[in-house]
Amino acid sequence: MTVRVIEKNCIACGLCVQACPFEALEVKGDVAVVDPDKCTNCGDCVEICPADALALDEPPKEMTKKEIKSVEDNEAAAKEIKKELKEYNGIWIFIEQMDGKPAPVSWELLGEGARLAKQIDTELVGVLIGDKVASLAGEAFSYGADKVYLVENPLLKNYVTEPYTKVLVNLCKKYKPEIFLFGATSLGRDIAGAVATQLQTGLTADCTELTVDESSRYLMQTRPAFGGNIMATIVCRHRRPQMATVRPRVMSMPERQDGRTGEIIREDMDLKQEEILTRIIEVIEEKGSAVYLDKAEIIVAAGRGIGSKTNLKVIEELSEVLGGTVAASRAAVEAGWFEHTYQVGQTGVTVRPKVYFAVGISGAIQHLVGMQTSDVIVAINNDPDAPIFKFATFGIVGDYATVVPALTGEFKKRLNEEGLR
Amino acid sequence: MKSLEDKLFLNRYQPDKESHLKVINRDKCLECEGKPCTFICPAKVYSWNPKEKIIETAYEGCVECGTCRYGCAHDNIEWKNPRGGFGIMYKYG
Repeated sequence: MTVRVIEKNCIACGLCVQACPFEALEVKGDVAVVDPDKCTNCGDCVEICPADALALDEPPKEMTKKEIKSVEDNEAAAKEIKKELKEYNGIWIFIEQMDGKPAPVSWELLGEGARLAKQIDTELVGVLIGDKVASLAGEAFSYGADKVYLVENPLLKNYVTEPYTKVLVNLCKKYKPEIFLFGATSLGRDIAGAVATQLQTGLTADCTELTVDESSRYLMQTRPAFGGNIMATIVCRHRRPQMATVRPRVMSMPERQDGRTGEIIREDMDLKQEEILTRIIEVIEEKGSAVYLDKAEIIVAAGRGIGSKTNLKVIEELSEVLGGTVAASRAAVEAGWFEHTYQVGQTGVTVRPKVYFAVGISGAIQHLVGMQTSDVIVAINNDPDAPIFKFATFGIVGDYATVVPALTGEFKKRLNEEGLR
Repeated sequence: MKSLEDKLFLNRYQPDKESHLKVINRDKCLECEGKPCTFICPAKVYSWNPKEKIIETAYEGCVECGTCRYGCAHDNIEWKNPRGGFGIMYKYG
């Protein structure tokens, strides 16, 4: 078998000669010629040919009985899978709670789930597990759930991977959901992986966008990869449920509809303390002055333009009024105004807050890579040509020493008004 | 036009937490005329901060060429290689 040259198409460009890994091609006169002794029919030249002058020489196929059978078997299996997939129905949302306090991402997911459920005409189900959490079911209804599966057990009081996994796996096996969504919190990321491996289905972590293909009912799960440089859309075709964890605060919060009700289905699970290997001894709440820049929702960052350490006060005031965290560019850390833990950028922390104030930061690429995915970037700089303005949602050209206190004052005023109302 | 910082961004670095470049005696910088380190460095590591009156060292961008060690007229820079595994990592250097 060798590659075939379609002589009337050949333009003798020689690209195939370069592309061939076996030196089997040659341009003779105004047409390419194949050396049948060297050609392995690999097809590299066919791909590169700009004139469609090359084709793989495929011999007429004579399948053996074994091959025919395997094809038939595969087709039958595919049909079987398709039939099986039809049994799966409903969009499930894992309602995350800790000590009876729900994680807001659960309601965001209910909003998103309602949209998807409408598209493929299915029901929206909340899955609520814990100890004495029944009151949250009502909230789930008001945020859009049609049905809530409720599992209550004293052993489910605090989150432990094993019993939670067991409960969810059993529920999935019994009720067969088509789509199962979790919030990409530290809890959600932990349990989703455990559940997906036990159910032997696909899981996409940390999605930022979900759509559903109406004809095939595939969930198109889009997530950033390589530090946000690539958006990958992932589909799980042959396994159910289609599972995904979704980044908090990406989906919008649905409107609360008070008085909406639905069906609560209680399930009893047989759980034994002895079967659980992990035991919680103490729950320690994180407190104190430790910096958690990557979790902050509002960040006020200062750069070299601040001038000196004594000027930091205005930055701190703004951050305090907004309930945010202060951060710094490399230059500000270098000058000794901040600890290294406050540094945002390539050699510091990568942050993704709702609002990022860049005060006196020029916006070198080394800083931008650490914060350019922030939802809103407010740049305050006296240099109108600073690169930060290319990335900023809002830019203020001016001296920070007048702009920032003015902002702080206005925020304070507005926030106080809100408080009085 | 691409700034030097944009070009440095093309390099691969594994920055250490602490600087491998030290200004030995900051007082000498005050008297130094011309401050050659601020312009002989190909990665613009050194810059004069007029407000704090010190030389700032952006050691993260250092390409480890060693020019500053010889360029400093007062032998005032303690130059070491970064620890093993840190510093610039030339790919197809």
